[in-house]
Amino acid sequence: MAEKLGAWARPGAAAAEGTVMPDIVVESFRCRPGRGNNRPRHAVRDHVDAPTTFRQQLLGTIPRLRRYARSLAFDPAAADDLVQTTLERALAHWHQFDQRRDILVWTLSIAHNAFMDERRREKRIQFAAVEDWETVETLQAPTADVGLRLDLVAALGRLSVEQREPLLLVTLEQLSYAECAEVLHIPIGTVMSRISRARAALRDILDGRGTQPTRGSALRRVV
Amino acid sequence: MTAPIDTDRLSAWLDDELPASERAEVEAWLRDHPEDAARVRLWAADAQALRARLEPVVAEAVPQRLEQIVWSRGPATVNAGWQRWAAAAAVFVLGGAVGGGIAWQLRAARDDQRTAAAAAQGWVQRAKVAHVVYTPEVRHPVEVRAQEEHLARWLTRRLDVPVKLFDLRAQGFELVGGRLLPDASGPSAQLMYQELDPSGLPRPADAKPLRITVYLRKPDADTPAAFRYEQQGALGMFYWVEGSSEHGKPCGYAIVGELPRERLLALAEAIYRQGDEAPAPR
Repeated sequence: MAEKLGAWARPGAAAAEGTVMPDIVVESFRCRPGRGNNRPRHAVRDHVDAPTTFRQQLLGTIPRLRRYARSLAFDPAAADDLVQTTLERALAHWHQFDQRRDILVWTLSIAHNAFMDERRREKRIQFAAVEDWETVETLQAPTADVGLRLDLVAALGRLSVEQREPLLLVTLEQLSYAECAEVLHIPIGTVMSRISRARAALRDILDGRGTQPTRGSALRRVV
Repeated sequence: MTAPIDTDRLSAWLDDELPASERAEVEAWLRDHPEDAARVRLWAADAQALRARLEPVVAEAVPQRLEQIVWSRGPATVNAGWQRWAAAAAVFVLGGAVGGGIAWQLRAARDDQRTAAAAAQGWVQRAKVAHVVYTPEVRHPVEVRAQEEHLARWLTRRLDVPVKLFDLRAQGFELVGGRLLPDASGPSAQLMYQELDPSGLPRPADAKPLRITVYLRKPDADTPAAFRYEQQGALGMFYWVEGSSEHGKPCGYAIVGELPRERLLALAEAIYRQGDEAPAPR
């Protein structure tokens, strides 16, 4: 059975490191004079004052956040832990969300930062064995190219995170290059070149040409 | 023929991220180079397969524990425990006065956040009530009609903030007029706009055009500036604070209306843009 990435499940983990504010949230943060800026760094994640409408908007992002998290962490439990961390941080920083922006792009940005935090913390990244994931996914109707889809998932896992993320954000989550650049804090030109390389690498792997996994993405069986 | 099209541009073309001028060039290239066209088709097929593969996750019901997080109203238990521990430890380590002071600071900082949030909600609630009270009025929807020249000057003087009579005709609304209202600690203003008839013909006497209101006030020092949105039933509200040193004084705005969020946002952004322009008349 796949082991959850334990760190996701520790509610106090992020607070212990200091609340990480997504850069994109800081940019849209306007003048807030008074004592607010001097809150202790280990701020309590107080959800009390997030208004109902914001919560409803947040609720609407969950299905797509779950898909994005699943495409990053593969293991369903670890993916949902990532979503949980993302939602908690979004609620804690609700007052910094500028309503002119797209809440999905904002929450994907938080999810990306949370994922990066976790990778930095964990020296080893554990992926669920691909076969375990296959048996959990029973909703997909069987088609002729089942073999192709199995390879596709494994191939995705063999891309580096730097290539996988922009490819997923644009092709899966349908973000524009500009939105993708915002979420990942990289220039638009970098988004374009990483996606193009990701596509080529994915094709190479599927065609049996890419035998070495790219840096940091080796699939390992969970002990 | 032009220089060969590189992989990056083929990829950007597939994502519809190329400017129109380059698109034609790439399409011509693809017509002449079937092997590149085949490559691009494979990329598209891979993307489609990826979407099909992960679509079930989006279709799944939201797990209960995630939904509970969204609706949770208290501080996370662990954090509350940490705060109490820290306060207790501070008292123990540093002695009564200082330790107690730190504990008080921790609690006070949290209460400040709550108070500021509650205060922000207070004036927005008043804006909503003012909308509901005055928009149904047929004979006296406003105190001073738009045609009367002194409307902006009068409100600016009373509110001590620059009051502009925003032009929302591009968004389909015309100014009816304005009124003065009592806010918590001073006057506030309400501008009322009603929907223009697209035909341009005069309306029948008993017609009830859609109305929106813009509530203006002098903001408190700790009113957050960021754009916020709320919906209560069919009524939507965007509210924010804008204007700092260049034009003198900040002003708090709340736009209220029974409109889809996108349409209300377009109006809010039009107001925001106009607020950035020349200062109010003297």
